[in-house]
Amino acid sequence: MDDQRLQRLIRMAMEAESLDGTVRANRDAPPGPISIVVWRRRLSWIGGGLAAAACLGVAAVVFRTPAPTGPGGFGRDAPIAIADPAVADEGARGDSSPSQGPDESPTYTTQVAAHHAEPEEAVVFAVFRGVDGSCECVQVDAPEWSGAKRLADVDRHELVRVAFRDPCSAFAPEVLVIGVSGKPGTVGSSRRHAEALAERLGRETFRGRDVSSAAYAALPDLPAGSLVVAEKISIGP
Amino acid sequence: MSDDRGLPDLATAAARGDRAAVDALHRRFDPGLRRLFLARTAGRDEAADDLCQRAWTACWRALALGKYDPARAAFSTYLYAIASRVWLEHLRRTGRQEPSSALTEYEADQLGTDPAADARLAEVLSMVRECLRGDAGGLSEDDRLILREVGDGASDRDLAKRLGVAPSTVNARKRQALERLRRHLASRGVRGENPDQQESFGQ
Repeated sequence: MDDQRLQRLIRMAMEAESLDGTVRANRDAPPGPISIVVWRRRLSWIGGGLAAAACLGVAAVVFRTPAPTGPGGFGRDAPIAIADPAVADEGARGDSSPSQGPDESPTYTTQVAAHHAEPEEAVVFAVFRGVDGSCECVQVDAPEWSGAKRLADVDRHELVRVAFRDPCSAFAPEVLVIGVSGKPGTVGSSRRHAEALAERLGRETFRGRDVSSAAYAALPDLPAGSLVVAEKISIGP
Repeated sequence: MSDDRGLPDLATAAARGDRAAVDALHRRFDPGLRRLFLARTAGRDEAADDLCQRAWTACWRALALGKYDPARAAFSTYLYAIASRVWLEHLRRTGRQEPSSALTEYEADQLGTDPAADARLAEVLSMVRECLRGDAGGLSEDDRLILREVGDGASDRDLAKRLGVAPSTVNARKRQALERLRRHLASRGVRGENPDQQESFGQ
């Protein structure tokens, strides 16, 4: 058996182990906020002890170095709504943007789109929520999209794949994946933005508004021309 | 209804055809299985649901046929082996390239299509898991750390940075760890390119 096959077997064995881990979490996880500490190979920085108000416990914020995503291969299968900034602002307040009920996932709504000819920088936040909706951890990735696409052209599966590539929580039943793009240097990938998302989205029920609107509203100081897209992925039974 | 039996007890009971145990295993493992398929399908709920359903159907059939032996593999490993086959069948059926994963990379011809093949793969994966836990194979802690990092996709350069040694040193240690694992598997009858082609399995 060559090294490559051995390495695949190791990876499969580790994936099989993760099934056991999920079972332990399902049985043993106490209700309410879960404190976790995450350590992953690709981390460039890790911040534990983030006291985001919505998390009410210890949330881990994970920042990752850029890593290429795999090929796309999926078509968009969810509605896209592109709004001008004024409409987006209304949408951010939850009173006019396309919305779906709390259990109608996925949602995929473009909030602001502009300046397509200019270079852009993108960051993906993944908010992993526990059984009660509380934030378990926030993961921050700076992905390089396949084919050097812009965020607006990235299909939802490629966006979601970033969150699942190496998730900071193996047990969260729900993940909010939020992509933000804008002019280089203007997109928030800071701890402050991660904290803001953890705080604002940690207990958000999304009743009456979609995930993108909530994410847009939660992100402070987004400059004009920024783009926010979001997905809510339910993993539980 | 909750079932407080431990996983080994549930697995043993399920292998004997205990319907309540099967239901309890389904309740406990389904979220993890769904998560696995969601990751494979990059969050496509419908595809993940369908794959889960297929995996559980195959699992129930195998249990009914008495193909699962809890002494040879943990239920999670057996279920994972079934999930691997279901995933490959899905790839064959759809002919699409899904996100890179161990399941994808594990070539289709590596797996058979019958429950016995699932059991054999589960047994090999159990051996690897034992080695990674340090329960077999005589691998040092460093060996196991390196193998886990390698399984997680770490490059020699990543590992070198983490361990504070030169990439060439990491490469040598990685090869040594892989060789130890290979020798252990061979001693248990797993020698061929294909785990299904084991010799004197379980002896």
